[in-house]
Amino acid sequence: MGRIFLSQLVTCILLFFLGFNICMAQNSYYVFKKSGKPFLNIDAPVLRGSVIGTSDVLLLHKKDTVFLINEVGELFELKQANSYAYNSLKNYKKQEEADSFTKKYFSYVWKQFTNQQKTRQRPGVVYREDRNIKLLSPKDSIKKYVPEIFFKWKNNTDSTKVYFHLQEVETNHIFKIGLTGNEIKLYRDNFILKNGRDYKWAVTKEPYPNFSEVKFNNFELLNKDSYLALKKEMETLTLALQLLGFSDEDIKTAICLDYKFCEN
Amino acid sequence: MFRDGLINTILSLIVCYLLSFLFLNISFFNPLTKALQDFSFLDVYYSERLNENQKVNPNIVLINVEHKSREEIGVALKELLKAKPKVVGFDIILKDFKKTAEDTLLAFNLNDKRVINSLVITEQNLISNHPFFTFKNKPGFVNFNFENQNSVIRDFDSEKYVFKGKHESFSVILAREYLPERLWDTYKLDKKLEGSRVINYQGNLNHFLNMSIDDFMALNDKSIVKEKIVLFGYLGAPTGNVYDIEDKHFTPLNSITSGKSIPDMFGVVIHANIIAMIISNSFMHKIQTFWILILTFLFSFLASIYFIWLNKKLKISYRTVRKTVLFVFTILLVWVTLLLFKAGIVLNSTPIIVVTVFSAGFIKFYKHLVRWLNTKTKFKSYLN
Repeated sequence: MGRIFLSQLVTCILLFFLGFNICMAQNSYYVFKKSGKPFLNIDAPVLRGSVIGTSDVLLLHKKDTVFLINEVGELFELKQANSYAYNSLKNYKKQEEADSFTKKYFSYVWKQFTNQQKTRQRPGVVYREDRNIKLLSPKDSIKKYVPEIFFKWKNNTDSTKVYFHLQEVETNHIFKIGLTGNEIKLYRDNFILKNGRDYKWAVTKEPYPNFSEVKFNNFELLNKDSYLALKKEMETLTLALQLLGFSDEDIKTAICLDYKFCEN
Repeated sequence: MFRDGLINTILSLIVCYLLSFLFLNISFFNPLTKALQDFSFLDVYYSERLNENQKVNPNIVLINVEHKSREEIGVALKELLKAKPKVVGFDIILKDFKKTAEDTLLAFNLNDKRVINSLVITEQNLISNHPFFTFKNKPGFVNFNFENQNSVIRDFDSEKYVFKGKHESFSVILAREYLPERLWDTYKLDKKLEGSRVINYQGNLNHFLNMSIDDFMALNDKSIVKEKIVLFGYLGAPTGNVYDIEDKHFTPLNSITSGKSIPDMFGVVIHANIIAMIISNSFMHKIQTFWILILTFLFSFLASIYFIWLNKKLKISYRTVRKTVLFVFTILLVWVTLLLFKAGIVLNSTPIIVVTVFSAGFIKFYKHLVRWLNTKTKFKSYLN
C-alpha cells in the first residue's frame, strides 16, 4: 500500500514539474537587426543580439525598425512607433512571399525573353562623406537658462565607442566620459554644470585627442539675472513677431537661431 | 525512322565530343571555355531568389573581427567562452607570434577544447597558426574544394589526404562537435560526407545571426551564443560592406550569373552554410555523370526521331517549328531541373540541353550524308 502511494506521489511530482516547465517555458526573442534608436524598457538601448525576455517592453519611435528572431529562426518585424510587450511580439511575424516557385521562374524567363533586365548604372565616382562626429545640439555659441542640457551628436565614424568632453572655459577643467551612444543629458548640479559659466563641448573617438584639431561647440549657461535681462531685451522683438502672426514656438526658434538665445 | 534517329544521335554525339575537345584545347577559346565552366543553370535558383527562405539560422552566430587587434579579439573570445557556446570556429590564422601579453591571452583561449582553429592547404605546404598558439583540437582546413577550377563555390570537400596525413574540413569538425554522436550516426553523416558535396546554400549574411565584436561586447546578456556554434571571422568593415572583398568569394547567390561582377559572400558565411547543411541533414544529391550521359543520349535520340519525322512532314515551316520546340524544351527542362534542385537533387542539365539542341540541328547534315551515301550505294532511310 505504502509502495503504491509512494509511486503515485513520485508520478504527481513529476507531472507537476513537467506541467510547470511547459507553462513557464517560453521562447526568447533575439534582436537580429535594428535601425534608428529603439529602446528596451524605457531607456536601455536595443543592441544586435539583445535578448527580449517575458517582462521586457520594446519602445519604437518614428523611423525605428527592429527585426527579431525566435529560437527556431522565425523572423518578426516591428516598424511602427509603439511600445511592444513580449506577449504581443508573436503577432508581428514577417510574412513569407506568396509567389510560387513556378510563377517566379516563368516571370524570370519572360523578363529575359522580353529583355526587361535592370540597366546597370555605373557612375565612375566615389562618395566621401565626412567620417567624423557631427555635433547636433546644443548649437554653437548659444546662451541657455535650463535645468539640464541634452547633448546630441551624429557619429559618422566606424567607432562605436566615443568620448564626450565638456570644458569649462574659465578654469579649463575638462569633464570626460566614454560612451557608446549618441547622446548624454547633464544636469545643472553646480558641480559639472554651473550657472553663469561658459562651456565648450566636443565628442571624439579617441580618449586623448589633440584638442587643437577638435571642433568644439560653445555655450553659456546663464544665471537668472542674465536670463531675465536677455529676455527683456527680446521683448520688443517678440512682440513685433507676435503682431506679425508668428506662433510662440516659431518666435523662440527664430530668436535661438539669430540671437543664439535659446529657451529650450 | 528509329534507325535514322539512332545513327543521327551517335554521329551528333561524336561530332559534339570532338568539337568540345577542340574548344577545351584551343587557347583562343579559353576565355569562352572558362566563362562556360563558371556558368550553371542552377545558379538561377539562388540568384533570382526562386525559393527565398526568410528564416534565420538559429544555431549559428557569426562574429565579425573587422580589423580589431589581437587584444580585442582575445578579450572577445574570453567573454564568448564565458557565455558557454557549444563550439567556436576561429576562421583566422595567426601566422606570427608578437611575444606580447595579448598573444598569451589569445593563445590561452584558443587552447580551450571548444575552439576549432583553421588551416590552409596549399600545393606546397600547410599554413596554420604560429606554434605558440598550440591547440588541443586538430585544426580543420578552410579550403572549400581542391579539384575544382571554377571560381564559383558550389561544392566542398570534407576531407583531404595530403602530406602523409588526413585533414578534415573546418566546417565538418564544427558540425561534428555540435551534433550529438547519436544524431551524427542516425544521419549517417560519415557516409554522406565522403568525397565532394554540393553546398545547399541557406542564404547570405542576412540568414545568420551576425554582429561585430563591439556589438557583442556591448551585450549585457550574452545568452544569444549559449549552446550555439559561433564563428569568428571577417565579415567586412563595417559588417556586410559589399565593396569589401577580403576573404569574399563568388557563390551561386551572386545576382549576376555570368559575366563580370564582384564576389558576393564572405568565406565565414560559406562555412556557416556548410555547417547549417550538415547539422540539418539537408544534403543535395548529385546525379552521377553516368546517368547524365544516359539522359543526354535518350533526349538526343528522342529529339532526332521527332525532328526527322517533322522534317519529312513539314516542308516550309520546319525550321520555325524546330526552333520553337527546342526553345520550349530548354525552358521546360531548366524548370524541371530547378524543381529537382528545390527537392535536393542536382541534375546538371547543361550537357543534356546542349547535346539535344545540337542533335536536332545535326539532322540537316545527316540528310546530306544520306543523299551522298545514296549516290554510292543504296542506303535505306526514312528521309529518302
